[in-house]
Amino acid sequence: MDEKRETEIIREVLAGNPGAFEELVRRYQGPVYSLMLRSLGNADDAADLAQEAFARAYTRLETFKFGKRFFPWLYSVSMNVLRDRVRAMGRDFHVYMETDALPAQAENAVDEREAVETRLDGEKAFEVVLRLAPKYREALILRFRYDFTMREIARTLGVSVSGAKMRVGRGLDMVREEFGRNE
Amino acid sequence: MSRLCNWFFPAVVLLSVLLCGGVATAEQVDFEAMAKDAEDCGISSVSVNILETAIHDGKLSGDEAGRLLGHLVEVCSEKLPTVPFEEKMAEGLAKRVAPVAVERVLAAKLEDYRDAKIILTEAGKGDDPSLLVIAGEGLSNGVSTSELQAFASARGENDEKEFLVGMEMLCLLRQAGFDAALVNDTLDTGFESGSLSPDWRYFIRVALVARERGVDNASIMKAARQVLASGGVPGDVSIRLGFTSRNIGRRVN
Amino acid sequence: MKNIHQKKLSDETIAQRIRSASESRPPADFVSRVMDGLEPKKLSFWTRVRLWLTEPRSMTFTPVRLIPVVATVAVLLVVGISQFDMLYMPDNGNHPVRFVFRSDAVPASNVAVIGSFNNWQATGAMMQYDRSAGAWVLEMPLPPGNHEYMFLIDGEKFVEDPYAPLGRDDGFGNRNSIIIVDGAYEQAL
Repeated sequence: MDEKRETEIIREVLAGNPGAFEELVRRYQGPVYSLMLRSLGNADDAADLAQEAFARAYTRLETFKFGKRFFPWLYSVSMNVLRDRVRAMGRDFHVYMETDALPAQAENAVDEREAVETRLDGEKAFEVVLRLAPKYREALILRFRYDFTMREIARTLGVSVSGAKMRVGRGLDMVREEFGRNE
Repeated sequence: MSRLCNWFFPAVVLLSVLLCGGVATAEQVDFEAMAKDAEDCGISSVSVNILETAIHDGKLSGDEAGRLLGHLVEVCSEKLPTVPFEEKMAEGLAKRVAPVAVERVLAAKLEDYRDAKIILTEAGKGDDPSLLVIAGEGLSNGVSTSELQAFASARGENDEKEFLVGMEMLCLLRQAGFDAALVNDTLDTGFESGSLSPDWRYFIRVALVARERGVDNASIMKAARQVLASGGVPGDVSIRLGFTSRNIGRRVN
Repeated sequence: MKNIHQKKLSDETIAQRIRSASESRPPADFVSRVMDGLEPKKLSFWTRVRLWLTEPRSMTFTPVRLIPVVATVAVLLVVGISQFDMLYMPDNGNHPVRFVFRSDAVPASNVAVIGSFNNWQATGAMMQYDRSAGAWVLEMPLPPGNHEYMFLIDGEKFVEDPYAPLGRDDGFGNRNSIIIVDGAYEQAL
């Protein structure tokens, strides 16, 4: 979906047609849900939170600046929703970003059919990524799965551009180390 | 049309402000967040402390300090050696240079180091931090990228230790004003005879002393070539030119 | 002990794996759940204005589009960067270096040597006035390499070493002096 189409959709929604929003939900439900799932480890909570993220994005749509990509903006909103949930759970968000992901649950949440593929290098490498601390994990996923620019990563994670570059670099190093160790 | 402009443009400005959600302010840098990034990346706490002290003493604002630290984090994030940048920053602060000017110097240095990295990577030596510093500093101090490139591509296959010695000699001698052709001839001799031992890293000292004693550049390099051809060390160059390192006294006159 | 034949994952490979890894699928009714909760929007006056103004049509002036700044660094293609060491590891190869400053032309109450070796801080680098030599003197152990320095007079004036055979522009408009410490020879330059 290109920027022009997204702008059209957003304008339509702002003009009073909520139905137009569906195309955006359909397009981005995967990434938003995945973010919540690997952050919380629980499918039901993840679905709830993902829904909340889209609801908030819808409510805040007036603040979206045309000319920027929609997905990074949506992702930022999702991160904020996640942050609020982590805080509501009584945890400090910064601490959460620093500590390791919940390994077992996140992996179990992957479709059973795909469990077979874990024999392949590909899934193994990604499993390692999932086990990294969120600050590095998210940077890598944003960079390589969603092709965010460093600036977009910086904005989404609330760090400086240099900080974003550093997290990507370190994340790669850590994957490499961890992968080598498990071979 | 001009009467239209009188109210049109202010209205446009007002609308632009509304559209963009307010007047854009330069992004304020959060020093604390930057310090965390610095720590994560492995930048020495000394540098962070220097900046914290400067903030505490009212010499830098948090934003200025954050920006400076941001440059170091940038260097670090590109896996480049940070020590020369940390030193440069400390130097600028100690000399009470305006933070913006220090930033400019750091940014220029980063460009030089990026070039150095590219050149060395092409020669298969992009990972060696010592080489990066020698090359980066060389470029910062006047060695041209083409010279460095020529050296790296010609000598990339040579022994690593000799490559380092050769590159350091190139950078220091060129900075000191020795002619490119003279320097290259000398290095060629050194590589051919395999005598570029670590002793030769600081051949520049002998060369400078000789120059002070009135020996011309060409003669200095000729002596160096002769010594290299026979597998000798820089001290032999002094002897050949008529003085020993022993009697190089510090001139306190 | 590392197995030399052990394959190292390249950045490219890791990137590719991340790109192609399967994404978790939300429940089948997710989209309808979201849509069911949305109320039609009522536009504020300013949003209406904004929409009207940003409507794509030929106009005499177009709003400025912000172009995302793209990072220029290609971290991806560099493989297996080892952690860098401190450049000048203090080994037992520190050599005593003698700094000398004559202050005939420049009267001074105190003089310090500041340089790359001490973060350009005067603390611990104050020189002593040697009456017999008629000069300020300081001896300091330095590791091999080339070091930049200046003299700091009375805590405020930065002065080059007139006897340094090599100097370098510091980038700030001053000229630093350079001392080259070489393990093999006496530090008498």
